[in-house]
Amino acid sequence: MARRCLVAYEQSYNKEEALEKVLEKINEEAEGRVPILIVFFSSNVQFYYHASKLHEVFPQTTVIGSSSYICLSSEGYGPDGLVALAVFDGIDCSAGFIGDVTTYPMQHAHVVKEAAGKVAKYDDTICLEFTTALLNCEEIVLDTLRSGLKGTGINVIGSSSGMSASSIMTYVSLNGKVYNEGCVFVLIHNEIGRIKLIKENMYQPTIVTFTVTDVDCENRMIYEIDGRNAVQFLCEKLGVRKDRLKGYLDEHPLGRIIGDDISTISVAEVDLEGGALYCESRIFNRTRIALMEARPDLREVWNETKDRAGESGEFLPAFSIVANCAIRTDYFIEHRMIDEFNDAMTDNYRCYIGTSGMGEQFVDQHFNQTMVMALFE
Amino acid sequence: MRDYNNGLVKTNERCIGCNKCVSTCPVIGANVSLILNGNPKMVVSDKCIHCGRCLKACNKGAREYMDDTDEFFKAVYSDMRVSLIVDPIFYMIYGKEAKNILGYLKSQGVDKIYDGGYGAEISAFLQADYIRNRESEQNKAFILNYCPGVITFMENHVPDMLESIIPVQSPVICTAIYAKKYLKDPSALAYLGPCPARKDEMNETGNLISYNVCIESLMKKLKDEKIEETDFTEDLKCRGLGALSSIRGGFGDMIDLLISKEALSIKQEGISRGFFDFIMASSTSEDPAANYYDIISCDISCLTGAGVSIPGEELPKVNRNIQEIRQGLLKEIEGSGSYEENYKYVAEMMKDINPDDFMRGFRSNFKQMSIVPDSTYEVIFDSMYKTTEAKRHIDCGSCGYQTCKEMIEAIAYGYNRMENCIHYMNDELLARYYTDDLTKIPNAEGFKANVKRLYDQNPDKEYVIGVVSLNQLNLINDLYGFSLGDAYIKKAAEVAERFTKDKGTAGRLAGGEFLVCFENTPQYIADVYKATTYSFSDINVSFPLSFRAGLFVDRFRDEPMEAIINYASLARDKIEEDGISTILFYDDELQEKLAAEAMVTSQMHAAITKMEFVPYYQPQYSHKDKKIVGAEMLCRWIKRDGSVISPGLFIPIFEKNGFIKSLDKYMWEQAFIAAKTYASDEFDKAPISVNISRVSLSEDDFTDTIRGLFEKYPIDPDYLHFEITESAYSDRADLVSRKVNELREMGFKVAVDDFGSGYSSLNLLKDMPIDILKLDMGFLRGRNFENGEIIIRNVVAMVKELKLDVISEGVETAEQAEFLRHVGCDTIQGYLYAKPMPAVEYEKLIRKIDNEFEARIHEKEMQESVEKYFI
Repeated sequence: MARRCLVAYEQSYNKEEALEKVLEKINEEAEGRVPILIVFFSSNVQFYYHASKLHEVFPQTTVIGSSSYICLSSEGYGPDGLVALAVFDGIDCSAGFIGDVTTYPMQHAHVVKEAAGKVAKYDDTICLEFTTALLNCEEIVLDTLRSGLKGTGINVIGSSSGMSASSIMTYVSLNGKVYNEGCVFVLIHNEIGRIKLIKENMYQPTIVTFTVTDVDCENRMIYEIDGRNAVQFLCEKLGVRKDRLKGYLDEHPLGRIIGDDISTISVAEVDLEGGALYCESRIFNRTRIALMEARPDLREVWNETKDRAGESGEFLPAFSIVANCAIRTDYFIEHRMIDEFNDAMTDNYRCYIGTSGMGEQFVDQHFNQTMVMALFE
Repeated sequence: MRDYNNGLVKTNERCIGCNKCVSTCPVIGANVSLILNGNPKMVVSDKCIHCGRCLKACNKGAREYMDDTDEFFKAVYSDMRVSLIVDPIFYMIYGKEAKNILGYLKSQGVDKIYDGGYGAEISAFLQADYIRNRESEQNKAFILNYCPGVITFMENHVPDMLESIIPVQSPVICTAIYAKKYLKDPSALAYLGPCPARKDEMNETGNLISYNVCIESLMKKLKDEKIEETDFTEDLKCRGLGALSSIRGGFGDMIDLLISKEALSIKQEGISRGFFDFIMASSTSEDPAANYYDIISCDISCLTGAGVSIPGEELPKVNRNIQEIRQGLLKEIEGSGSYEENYKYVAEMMKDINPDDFMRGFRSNFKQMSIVPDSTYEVIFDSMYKTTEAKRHIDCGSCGYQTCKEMIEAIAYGYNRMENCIHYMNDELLARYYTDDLTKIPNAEGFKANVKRLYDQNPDKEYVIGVVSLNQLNLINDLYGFSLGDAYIKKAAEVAERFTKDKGTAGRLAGGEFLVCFENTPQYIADVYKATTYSFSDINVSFPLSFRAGLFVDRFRDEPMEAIINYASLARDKIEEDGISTILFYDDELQEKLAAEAMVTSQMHAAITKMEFVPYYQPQYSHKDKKIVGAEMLCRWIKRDGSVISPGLFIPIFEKNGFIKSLDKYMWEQAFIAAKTYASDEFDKAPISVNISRVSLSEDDFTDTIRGLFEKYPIDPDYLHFEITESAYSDRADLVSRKVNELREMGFKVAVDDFGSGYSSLNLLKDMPIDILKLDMGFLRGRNFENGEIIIRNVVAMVKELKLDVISEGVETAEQAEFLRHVGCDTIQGYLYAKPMPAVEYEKLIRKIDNEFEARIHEKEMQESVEKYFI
């Protein structure tokens, strides 16, 4: 019996070869069927090629993708080549593109609304999106998506695009078109089961908590903490020299506390002169923050996530789409756990595809150093 | 580094952060509240549209604008050709004087001077033309392009309505285009007008005009110049209503003359987002409110522009100027016909211009802001004590915003601070008065207020008030630092709050001390006793932590809360810090004990100066001849009124509060004096022995004190012995040993006191450098009397073999005395022979007898004395 979906991955510096192998696998599985949806990730270098070719080969298919720091999948992982998830049946989808992401994406909220009008049902439907990174725009894009989806109950999950260390630009693509400034999204309705959205935070709060008291929200800057110069405050509180603060915060990111939930926020830069922190995600003024630390046993973290996936009755994912922050990926690589991570993901979620980007979007929040995933029953 | 005050409008050092600028500003986020050098300031961000309303609103002169007046004059005085466009408002303000000023400028080198009213007429005609052709599908716009503040506001903040602005250049730019394109003026252009925001329009329209010269700046520059009458005429002069285009409704009036009277217009002064929302809603309805909108930023036309300053006394003159101009124009347009005739007339005038030359587009500079989530509103509302709907809708406007919600939004974005809300500050003051800063639970005042509320609400219930101290807090502070100590306190506050939730209240008194109040029910009391230790592993404290609590049942509610807390506190103080949690209720017995303690403590210092501490002597007798061989000096507290306070009461208290050190020193001095007195030939040789407390022994200056007294009272050391209690030797044996040796080196003998009263150690006899062992009769008390006798017998034998003297103390019965004599203990002290006595009595006993008669009398007295003091 033909499978509902497959993940194909080919690690190759040669883009033609990578594409050929992936197409071969998709066609093998297709047995005459045309995929309804292809989600793909690749490095910046190969991205344009794969985006245009995949659309060329499957013009009837919704082909959505993002450049990625590393390609992750149940078929292996690596920094180059192409990874693709092809879904042949059991879903309905509707996609769109949002432009003007740095200025006024909300003017395109109607695109989202129109897309929502095209999916068969709102139940068991999610909005998967990829937004170009490094533009400080994820929050307003998320607002736009949520505005377009208002009243549908459809939740958003997605990733800021990733890139290799030497790059300065990220890309997203929808149906053959490549954008270096924009958001591509697809609403996916699972016709034969549930969809679970899960967030995995490998960091836990320390006892150091504080309130930000002066911010530049648009530029993601924190100027003051508990009424004092942010850098000075942290240096004193943590007993760290100014020039070592950035290194300390790399290991101890900020945790934005909202109710009982904590989201991890990376500090991109420390402005020693101005005493400010430049973050990778927006922090509103008066937000409670906890300094975070990596949990000592990552296997325990993975198992907890697996348990959460299995909560509320048996849940066997047919395929999963994952966004694992590039900083987390680096952490796994540095700690020689990347193989183990990918094995655990494969064991726990079977047919999975993952990107590694500059931030994650989950329901109503954009954050960093986290893994989010959509599990399709 | 934060970017502010970098635009055309700036805050200067006169700002006091009063919020007036916020209240008049149409743009949320244009004013940002900062604390600069400790002072609140409202600085200007890059969101500012330079409308200049804040300049008019600020009564401190803390806002200023930037224009190009200096650059304009530099250019005029250089080789450059500069022509000037004059806004019609200049003529209205200065009347006939305007020509003289312009003549003066021309004399300084300005090339051509153009009346801006000319461009106003072109602009009005073209905009009217656009409206007249509304039937055309393309002509959907309905907002006049006139005021640069409005246009910048729309470009930056209302991007969805940019297509609603009629795409014709403004009067000023129309004049510039006409001068450049039709008059072929090659000069650089300057504009003299009322508006700093005009600079933005200049930048947006390709810098046709190079200099924005505000009228106020120009007049400041010329204030010392001699302006003479001239016969100056403009190089371009408007032909009609353009002269009135800058007064209230003037530009719109020009349009009205050219379009159907049935066309509706709305004239709006002042910008607000709400007004644009209204226009937007209206424009999409089937029956729009107006065919076009004439909107300007300033309140009373360009006369109140930020670049104009008209003193109050000049206003009548300005008004007369306007009337004069108006009358002149009315004469000219008298007899004007219908709007169609007017239109034809003006169209004929404009026949040489190409409308396309005067068209423009509008560009969005809008930057979408993130939507503030409800959770953030909640957090900020709550942190500002706005916990009820009423408090969230005070909307008093004192912060500058129209609603509390707007203020919260501004705070969330980082534009403003909670401290700028007067209601928050009031509530914060109250909260600080009632809340502990570290734990955020009530402080003592807050606790008392809560208890009062609880009592008032529950008159029939009985409550327990407790003072709880955290054990091990000092240890945590020492081991892990104050930061973790604070975390411990915070956690403990959580526990206290949790414990009293629904049954009382909790508060923090100070340091690691908490107050609790809960209903006096068997269940709750049982819950208290169940508490033994708490795990605080979540804050990385690996050992269990405990508390000690003093509780008071407030049965009668007839004493002030201060007193109740004090009772609980006194009970808590009676508990030794320990590894487990301990609870002690304040009761009558404790109350009596504490009252006595309080009395002793309050009177002890005065007692020394009043010499109420009196040395008493308890003689030590030789078994063999029944003679006094020495005496122990003891302290008696005899008050002036003759009442006596028992040493059993005051010594433990002094040991606890440290006063024993002062008393020791006092008694040592008395001992030295006595030893010196009794060393005289008048008395039999009988050394005085005096006690050294554990507390004094541990003092660093102990031996120095003794040495000082020795120097002050140089006595034969044989006449003074020191007694150190056996238990003192168990603390820091090496230190005690060193100090004892120093005493012995001075020549004094040292006795171990109370040997046998506790768990005695033979090691003491082996290791300690002592001279005398004072044997307590504890061995002969209680059960196993026979065993006690065996021990004493052997101890005495052993001591003798060690060449130590032995004194038995506490001897009360003849049997004990006989036994001691039998085992070889030579010296005895105890009530059997004499109880402690005053010096005068003691001296009688040791005074030497010279003849047989006196000896007999003395023997008799001694006998009586013994009987007298024998219990």
